[in-house]
Amino acid sequence: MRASKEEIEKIFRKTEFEHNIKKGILSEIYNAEARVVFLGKRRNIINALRKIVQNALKSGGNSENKAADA
Amino acid sequence: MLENFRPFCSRHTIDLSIEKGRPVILVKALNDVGKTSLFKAIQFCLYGSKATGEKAFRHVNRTACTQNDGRTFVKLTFDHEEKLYEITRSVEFKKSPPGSFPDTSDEVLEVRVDGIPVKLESIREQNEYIEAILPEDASQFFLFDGEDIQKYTRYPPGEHVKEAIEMVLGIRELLNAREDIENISRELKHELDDLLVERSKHDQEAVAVDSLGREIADIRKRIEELDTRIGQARENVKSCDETLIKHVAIQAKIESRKQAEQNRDLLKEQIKTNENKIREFNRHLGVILVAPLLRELSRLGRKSVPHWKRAAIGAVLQSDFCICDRPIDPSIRERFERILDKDLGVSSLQYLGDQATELLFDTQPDALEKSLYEILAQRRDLESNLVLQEQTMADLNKEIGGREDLAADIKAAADTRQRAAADLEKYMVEKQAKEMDLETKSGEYGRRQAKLAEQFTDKDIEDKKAYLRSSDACETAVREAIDELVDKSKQKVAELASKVFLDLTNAPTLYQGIEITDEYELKIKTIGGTTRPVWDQSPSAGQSQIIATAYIAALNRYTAREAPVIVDTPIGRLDPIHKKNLIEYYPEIGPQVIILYQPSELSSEDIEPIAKYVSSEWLLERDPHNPDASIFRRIKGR
Repeated sequence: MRASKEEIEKIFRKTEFEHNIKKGILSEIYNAEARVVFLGKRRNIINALRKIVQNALKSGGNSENKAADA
Repeated sequence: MLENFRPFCSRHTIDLSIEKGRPVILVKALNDVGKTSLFKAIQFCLYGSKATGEKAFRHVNRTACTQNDGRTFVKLTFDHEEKLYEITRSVEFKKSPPGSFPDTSDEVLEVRVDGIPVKLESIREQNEYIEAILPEDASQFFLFDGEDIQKYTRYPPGEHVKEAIEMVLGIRELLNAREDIENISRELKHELDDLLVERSKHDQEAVAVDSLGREIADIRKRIEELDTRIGQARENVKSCDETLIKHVAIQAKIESRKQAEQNRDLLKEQIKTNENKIREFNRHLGVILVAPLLRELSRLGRKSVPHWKRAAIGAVLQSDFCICDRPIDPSIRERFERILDKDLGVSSLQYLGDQATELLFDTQPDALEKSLYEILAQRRDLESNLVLQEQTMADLNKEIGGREDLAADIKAAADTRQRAAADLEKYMVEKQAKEMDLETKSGEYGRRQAKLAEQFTDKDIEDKKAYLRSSDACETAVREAIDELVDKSKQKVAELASKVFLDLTNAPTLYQGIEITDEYELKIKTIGGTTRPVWDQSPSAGQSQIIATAYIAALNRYTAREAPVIVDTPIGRLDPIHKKNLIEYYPEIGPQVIILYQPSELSSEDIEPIAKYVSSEWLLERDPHNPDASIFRRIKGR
């Protein structure tokens, strides 16, 4: 019953596109958080997230996502 | 398993496992026997005494603590994510007199997974670990009091409830991500601020280093000027030295000329004196000229008995005795008389001879002649020296020219040299100081410039800004994803809650279902098309319980977490229809449903419709051997 991964991914893609974020970044963030949620270890999550968000924005506009989709 | 926990003295174990297709476990107890304590034991084990709202010492069994020091603990054993978990929370207690509470130690949490201990060093790590299994905020939808859940129908729901609902909607990861990225953005803002401050310092340092560079250039320029001045001063000194040498040499010649003049004058004086001597000597010339004649005369005159001899013999012959009183020998007398007889009287020659001898004695012509020669020799020497001095003077005059005295020129040149030398010294000292200053400042300049080059550039700031923009974009995106996910989830929860509500309510024909607002306020949709907040309906306590049960059932089902549902006081004040509907619904509310009830809530008849879903049934009763203690007793099931 819980929102399926496909539903979440769909929302992520839409949000990434709207905010000019590279495709898959939100999934990376979600997966990083999911890993530490279930391990119960959140101490290193900030460093992991910093690496992910550092280059999250597309440099070439949304064409980059389209290229990635292609 | 629990030991010395509240009414449970010593160790007790209750098996709450279920059989396939039989998710329900019933635990029956009279009031004040331990039903709520069992409920709190589970809260204590997972989240500690703070979750129960009571201090740890209140959980220690009163009988046990009056007997000895001991330990109170609750251990839960369960399957989760295909692993066997054993979670034990305990406190040590000290023996205490009846009627008082014991001293207790800090709580200790021990976790084993598949028999292997999990190392959890800090309270934070322990909390995070348990939260990962079942978040405490979410636990209210799994462990609840049937009468207490009416709070979800109140307006407005508290922030705590809202967060809990969002958590069970399955957005825990995104909520964490939102919080973490907010922290990252905050950190990045601080880092950017630090960089801007650093850049400001860097700019100030760059200006200072630039100023130092200009100062060094000025020093170099000054050193070049000093080199020029030192060169000029050296030239001046050299020129002065040459002038001085030249002037001193000429001055020496002038002095020599003066000396020569004095010598000349002296010679002239000597010549004059010599002339006077010669002139003076003229009167002796006659003596000198006649000296040979006088000598001849003297020689001839001396051949006769000298006058003195005659006088002496005459004196002797005047007595018969000699001057020695002896008588004069006649032969001597005769001889003397013969001498006197031989030449009676003085001859002319003898006279002339005596005169010549006397004259020669008086005039000393040899000495005069010698003196004359000496004077003439001196004259020759003087005249020769005079010629020499005059020649020297002529030579010096030729070299000196018309100059008479260069002492003033020499003094002026010496003064000029002194000034030039002083200037040279001054410039040299200044140059040395400047060179040392240059070396120091150049070293400092190099070091500071290298440090500046090592430090960040504007690119660092631009990179940090880009990083922050990226982080902010991710934060916004996660926030919006949460909102959208929550919206969709709320819609689904509302659909589920509506279905459950319509199944449970005693008036399904009056309602269409339940709506959930953005603030998680519950609204009831009536058949007539109106939608009103639950609180506005002023529902009865029973109706409120039904609505809340439908809501948390929907939430519970939506989260799909593998947690048991434990319901205390499940029926409360429900009317028979609601009661029947709810009892019949409980087997569906979760994969494992533990119902803690007191006999007046559920009769055997009430339970009968769900009997086929019951895995085991337990009776919680007072220990016949200790009225202050409670014990478990299985009354149905394996």
